[in-house]
Amino acid sequence: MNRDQRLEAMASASDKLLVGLADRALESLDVEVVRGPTVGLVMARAEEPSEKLVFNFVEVAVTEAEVLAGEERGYAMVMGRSPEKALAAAVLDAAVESRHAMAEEIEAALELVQSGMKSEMKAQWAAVAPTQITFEDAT
Amino acid sequence: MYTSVKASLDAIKRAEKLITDDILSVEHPLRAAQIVESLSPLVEKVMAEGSLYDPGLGALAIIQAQGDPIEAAFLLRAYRSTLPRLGYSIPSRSEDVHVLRRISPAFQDVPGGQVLGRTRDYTLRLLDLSLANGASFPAAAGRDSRSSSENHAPPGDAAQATKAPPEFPVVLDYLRKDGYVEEAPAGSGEDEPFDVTTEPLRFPAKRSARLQIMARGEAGALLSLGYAAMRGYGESHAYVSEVRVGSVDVKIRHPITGNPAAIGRIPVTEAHAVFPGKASLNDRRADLTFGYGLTLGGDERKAISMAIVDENLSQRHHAGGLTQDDEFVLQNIDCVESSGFVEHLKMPHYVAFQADMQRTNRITELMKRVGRNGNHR
Repeated sequence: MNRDQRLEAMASASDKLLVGLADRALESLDVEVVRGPTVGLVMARAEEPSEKLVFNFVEVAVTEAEVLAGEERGYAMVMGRSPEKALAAAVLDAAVESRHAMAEEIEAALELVQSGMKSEMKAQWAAVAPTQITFEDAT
Repeated sequence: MYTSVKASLDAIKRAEKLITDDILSVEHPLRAAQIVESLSPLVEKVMAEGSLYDPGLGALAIIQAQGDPIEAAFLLRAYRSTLPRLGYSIPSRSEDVHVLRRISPAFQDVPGGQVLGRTRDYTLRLLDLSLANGASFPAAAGRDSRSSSENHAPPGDAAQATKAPPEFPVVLDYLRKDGYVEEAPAGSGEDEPFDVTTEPLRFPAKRSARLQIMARGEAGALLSLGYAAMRGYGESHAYVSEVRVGSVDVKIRHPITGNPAAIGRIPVTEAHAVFPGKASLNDRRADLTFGYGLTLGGDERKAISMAIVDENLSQRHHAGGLTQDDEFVLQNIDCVESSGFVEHLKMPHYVAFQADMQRTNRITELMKRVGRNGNHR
C-alpha cells in the first residue's frame, strides 16, 4: 500500500479504528500538530464531456490535519466534520512514514479497510447486475 | 424602498421559539441518521441545492427546517459560507462514474449495455397502504422467503452478479468519432472555471458558470424550464443518449506525494442529451448538438432538465426562446435567491407602500373628478 492508497483507506476507515490505533501509537511517538485539524471545503470539480470543460460542481465538507513526527510529515484529509478522525489519521500517516513500531500493524489494519472498500464496490454492483437488460423491438 | 423598523425583540424571539419548541416536542423525533437512511432523495436534493455535500448536515438542516427543502438548502448555504476553502478536486469525468444504473433511450445497443439499477420507471405507481404500519413491501416480503438465486430473475443473469462491472464507454465519443457532433474545440476549456461562490455573475455567462449554477439550481425550476423548452419556449426536443447514476471519487492531489488520492465518493447523476436538426453547410456544423446535466445525488429528472436547458443556452443562433436566455434562466433557478426575493415581501414595507398609496390616492381622486365632470381640465 503506497502513501496515496493509505490516505484513501484512512478516509474510509471508521473513526474508532483510527483513533484507537493513534492513541496507542502516541504512547511512543512524539508529534507536533502543524496544520488543523481544520473543517473546511473542497470544491469538487467535474469535466463536461463535449468541450472537455472543467466546472465547479459542488463543495464537499472535509477535515484536514497535518503533524510532524521528527522529520516525517503526516497528512490526512477526510470527508465530513471529523477533527478527531483527521488528526488520528495524520498521526498514523506519520507513524508509518517514520517506521514506528506499530507501522506494520497500522498498514495491516488499513489493508483490511481497503479490502472492505473493494468488497463494498463489488457488492453494490452485484445488487444491480441482475437488472442488466436488452430492449427488443416489440414487433 | 427598504427601511429599518423597530419592534419588540422579545416577540420575534418568542415567535422563533414556537418553531424550535415544535421541533423539540414531537412525540417521535427523527434522528439525522434515520433521515439519511430513509429519505436519501430529500437529503440529496437539499445538499445539491445547498451546494454542500455532507449527508449528516443535510439531514440536520431538514430537521431544523421541519422538512422544508428550500429552507434546509438555505441553512446549508449559510453554514458553508462560514468554512474556508481548503482546495479543489481533480475533475471527474463521465467515464469515472462508478455506474449503478445506466440507460440509453436513444441507442438500443449502446456500447457497454444497459443496467436498470434502482428504478420505478417501468412499473405502476400505486400507493402501498401496507406501509402505513411499517410493514414491508409485499414483493420484498415474498422475496425474503426465496433462495438468493431466486431473488433476481432469470437464473442466467445470476452469474453476472459475481463479475466485475463492465466498462461503459461514453456514447458521445462514438457520435463525435462518426462526425454526428462537433469535435471538442481545441483549447475550448476556460483557463480557470468560473466560481459563482466567489465572483459576481456577468452576462453572457461563461459555460462553466452556467453549469455550476444549474448543478446547484432548484430541481423544480429546472424541470419547469426543461419542460417549457420542449413545449416551444425553446426550440429543441432532446434525445437522451445516456443517463448514468452512481458515484464519483473525490480525488485531491496529495500535498506530500503530489499524486491523486481519493478522500471518498459522492453520489451523482449524469445526463447526456443530443438534439438533431442543427446541420449547416455554411457554418460546417454537425447535425447533433449536445446538452449536459450533472447533479449531486440520484435526481434523474433534474439532470435531464439541466441537459435540455444547457443545450438551449449553448445555441449559437438564438431563436429568442426564454430558455435560451441565460440571464432569464440563471437568475431564476437558484432557490435561495428566488425564495429570498419572494419572501422578502413579508418584511415591513411601510414607507414604500405609503409612498405608493399616496400616488394611488391621487389617481383615485383624479378618476373620481373625471367621472363627475365627464372630462378633466
